[in-house]
Amino acid sequence: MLPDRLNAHPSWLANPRVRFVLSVLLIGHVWAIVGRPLEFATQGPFGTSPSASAIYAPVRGYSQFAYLDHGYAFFAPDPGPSHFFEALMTSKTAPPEELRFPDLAEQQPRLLYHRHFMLAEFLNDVYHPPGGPPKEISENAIASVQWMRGRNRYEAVRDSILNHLRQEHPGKDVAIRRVEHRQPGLPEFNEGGIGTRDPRLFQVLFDTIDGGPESPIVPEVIPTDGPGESQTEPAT
Amino acid sequence: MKDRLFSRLAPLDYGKSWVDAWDHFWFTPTAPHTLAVIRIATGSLLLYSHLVLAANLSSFLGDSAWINNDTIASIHQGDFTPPDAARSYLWNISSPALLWAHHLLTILVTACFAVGLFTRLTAPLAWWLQLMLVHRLTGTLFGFDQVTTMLTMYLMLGPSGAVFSVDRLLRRRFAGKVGKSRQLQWLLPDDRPSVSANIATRLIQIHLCIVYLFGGLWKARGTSWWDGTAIWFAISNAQYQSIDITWLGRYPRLFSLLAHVTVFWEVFYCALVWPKLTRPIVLVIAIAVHGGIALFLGMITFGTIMIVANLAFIPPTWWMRSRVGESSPEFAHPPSIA
Repeated sequence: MLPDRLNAHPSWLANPRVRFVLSVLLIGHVWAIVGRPLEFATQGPFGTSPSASAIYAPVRGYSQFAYLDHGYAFFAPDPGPSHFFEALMTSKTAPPEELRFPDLAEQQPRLLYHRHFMLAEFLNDVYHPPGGPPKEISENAIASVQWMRGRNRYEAVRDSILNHLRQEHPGKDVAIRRVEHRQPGLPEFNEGGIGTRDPRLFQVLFDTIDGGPESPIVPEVIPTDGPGESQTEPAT
Repeated sequence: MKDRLFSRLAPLDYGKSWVDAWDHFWFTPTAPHTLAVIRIATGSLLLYSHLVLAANLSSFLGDSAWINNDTIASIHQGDFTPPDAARSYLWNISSPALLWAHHLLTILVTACFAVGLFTRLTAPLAWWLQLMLVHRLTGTLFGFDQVTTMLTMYLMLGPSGAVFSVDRLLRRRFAGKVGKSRQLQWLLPDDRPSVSANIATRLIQIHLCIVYLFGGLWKARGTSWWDGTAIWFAISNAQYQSIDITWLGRYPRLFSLLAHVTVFWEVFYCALVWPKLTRPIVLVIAIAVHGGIALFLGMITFGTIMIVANLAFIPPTWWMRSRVGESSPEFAHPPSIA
């Protein structure tokens, strides 16, 4: 316990109205830091819980501006696969150059590697397939617009990355593709001899309507012999 | 006896006890030592982050960055999804020279904040500059940025530069002038317990409880945290891995136990960190979990800043013990957070 002279409020806090105003501000702030994770945690296949959204709505702007709007779903709900992107730079005068992002051999220290790691995850997170919305969505005008905007966002992020690579490699044509690197299951690792960097764990994510390589819309695919052959082990 | 019982349970008394508890929780003066330690660690990590960014600045800021100015502005201003309130003047700056000048200022201010020089000014400035950066760096951020920004925000609320700082040296050096000037007393605060130090500490504690509660609830939604394989899938992710501990895969009972302890600890952190009996256990697990993330999953900065945030639950007396006798008279009877 504090000595009495320290327990006593300073003069400016002796006024209950001051403490009341401060309390309101504190409650508002705590509301803001709880609101977003609550809204984020209550998301389902049909959207966010209306009540959670209503709770968060009054403090949404403050929370977003103060960068308090996080879900805190670290390694959750399940630790999933990671993603990276590969870039192929070609020109008529030089041999093709292939780069991977992130790449620990190129991006040091680790924090810089992690920034590139997050960039690759962001590209994957915003991915939206090409083409128009599926039939069940196309009948809803608002959902259709959102669908198209989702694709526009992905293309904006992808094109920004391509522009950056073109600036870094002037005079070269650049193409990128996303790759997923999943972890081996325990039986695969313990009994199947599949290590954490086994080529079978890598999968190219094609930019197609159905996700398969057969689709004719493949604007960002780098020509290679196949997913396994072109992979290099990620340096750690 | 019966009258006394009814009297105790009277709604007004019950309400008053809540108000008293609220007052005690938020408005009890606290010494600034814990905040000062958190300031040094947070400021140093933030400075490191800015220096790392400086090594590759044009890749992250400007018109030819990975995510260029137009794309960032479009993302936040609602061209693709509903607009949000995140704003940064940095997405309007194209000039590399201006971006460099801004970043050098950011580094300078953050260094001053870390060493505690004019902390009353450099703490809010460091927070503001960090806020502008994080809103510009959308797409390349992770938990480390969330927690450093959060801690810097709270450190500016309290006198985090009152001790273990250049401010303290200046206050001693110019004691005569400081004694006569209210402005200098504000600029170079002394180390006596204050309500603002308590509010800042409490906000870090509350915020941390919310982080862990939702972190735990999210994990509880996943099947791998229930069947215990989540730890395996975390350590076998080669892109995170900094030290290979996949040998744990041969000990299912051990790694599944680690998964269950992690979920239990995260969900119940917000309750178990307050009682003095369970607090040390909760904090030791925090060091183990975040130390493990730092060492084995390649996120040294994130693991470290989470441990730093947990320091908010260390009473200031813990840092003051070696300094009793050289400080203000209040330290003879140091206050306790708990």
